[in-house]
Amino acid sequence: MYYAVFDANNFYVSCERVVNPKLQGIPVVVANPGGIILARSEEAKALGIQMAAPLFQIQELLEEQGVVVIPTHFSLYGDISQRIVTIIREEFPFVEEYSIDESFVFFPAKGAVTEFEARCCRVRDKIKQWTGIPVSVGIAATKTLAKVAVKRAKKLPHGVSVLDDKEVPEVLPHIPVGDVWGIGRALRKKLLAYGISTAGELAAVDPISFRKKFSVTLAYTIQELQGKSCFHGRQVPKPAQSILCSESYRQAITTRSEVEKKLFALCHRAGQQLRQHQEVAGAMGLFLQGNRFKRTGVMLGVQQHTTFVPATAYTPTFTKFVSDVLPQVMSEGDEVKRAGVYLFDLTPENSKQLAFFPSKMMSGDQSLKEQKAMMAIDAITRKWGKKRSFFLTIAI
Amino acid sequence: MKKQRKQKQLKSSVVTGVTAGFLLPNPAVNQQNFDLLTHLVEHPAATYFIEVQGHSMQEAGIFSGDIIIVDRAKEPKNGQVVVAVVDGTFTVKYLQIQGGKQYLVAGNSEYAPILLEEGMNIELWGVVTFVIHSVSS
Repeated sequence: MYYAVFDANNFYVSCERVVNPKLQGIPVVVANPGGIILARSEEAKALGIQMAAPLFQIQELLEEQGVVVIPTHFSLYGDISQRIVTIIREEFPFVEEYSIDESFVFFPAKGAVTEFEARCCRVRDKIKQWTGIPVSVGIAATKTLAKVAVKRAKKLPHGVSVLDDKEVPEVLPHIPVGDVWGIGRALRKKLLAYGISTAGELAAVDPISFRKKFSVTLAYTIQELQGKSCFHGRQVPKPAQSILCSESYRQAITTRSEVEKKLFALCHRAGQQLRQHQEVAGAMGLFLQGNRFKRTGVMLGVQQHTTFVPATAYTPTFTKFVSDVLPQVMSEGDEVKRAGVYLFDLTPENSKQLAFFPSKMMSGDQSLKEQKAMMAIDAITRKWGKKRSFFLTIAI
Repeated sequence: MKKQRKQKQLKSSVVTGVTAGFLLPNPAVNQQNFDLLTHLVEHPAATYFIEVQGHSMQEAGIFSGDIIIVDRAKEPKNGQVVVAVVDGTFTVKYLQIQGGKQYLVAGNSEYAPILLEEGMNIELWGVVTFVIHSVSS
């Protein structure tokens, strides 16, 4: 049993380079409207520019080194992301989209990892040819180990790396614990206090005792490092830089009201994930796919995007966007086979950036009110399950 | 650069064989449900729409302001119109393959052919499959 993770290299920068080849080979960063760096090219990384650095703090470096700063174009990233997933899905029907630039695929057969590797290589080359985006692939027994493998793959020219069971004990001691999938800054600090500084040391502890000390998620991460797969389906240890919630429908949906309902549910799920990690979203996108390209069997659908100033985690803001744009992208009778909602440009809630236009800015009271409403809804969801609270989201 | 940002329904009925002002419906095409995008786009995941500036491909029927449909999934063949990136700039040219050598040739004799050699900063980006040209402006 193997998992592979397809991870696009410097995704936002790579997208910009597809449509503007002048950006090849030079240091490039993509920054959000608040001046925070969201993506860096390899050349920019080599200059020591850090992720999430504010532009104003490194103004001099940017000017001295001639770093090109590009504003975000989320509609472009969403479009190319869907192209990539479409290509992966042609080879592997069950793709689990984890974020805008990462997808997992699952290979159930035992032993024949070389066959799986060959298929992944083929898909990777096809993605490069068809979309222009370089993608790296990590293959291993669990998702967490596949994430380890993909880091190694990024340094290889052919961009595919298999981490087999025998290699794991040699590789893990060289990986800082903070680089393990799902280990954030706060957790890393706590683990250091326990004398755990590498992935190898983390893999050596007893997951059950750590479940009590820390969390179920960390216990899963430990087991995954030990080679036992624990993160199935939507279960993941942390949100990526973007949240993506999508669904496929065996039976195409043809009424707009039904699609709207499905999108609302996806907004609700995305919003919940966002708030669980105490983050706010600066932009949002939705997409619909259907049988519009019957001839080739390939589907690419419609997309719409918007930005939020200030960033928000308020589900009704997301559902309002859905209601606003759905009539533009879907006619009654269109066949929808897949629907999805993206949340982009995620930032921690407490560092919410101020809006440029004060008139659009929410008053503190309003913001607090929304936050309280969301907390109540999330609490109900936890208690009663998803279906119960769903009508509440619409009713607000 | 125009992308497939809005793939809204582009349904329209099709008429072919316009001779002397008579419109002859094409029975081979289901007129009620003709989807222009399906007709124009073979590989949606690999297709880009690009607006053309410049006059180097007028002979090929590509004029400034036209929109070309570019398919990156197709293998470029001799004589096809291709999009190439030359020193970081998009350009549209004929691809000519002669004696194992590849040339980029403009559809306008004022421009000299470019021989593709190892180490040059040239990339064949995609194959042009259709041109959208407005005849009313």
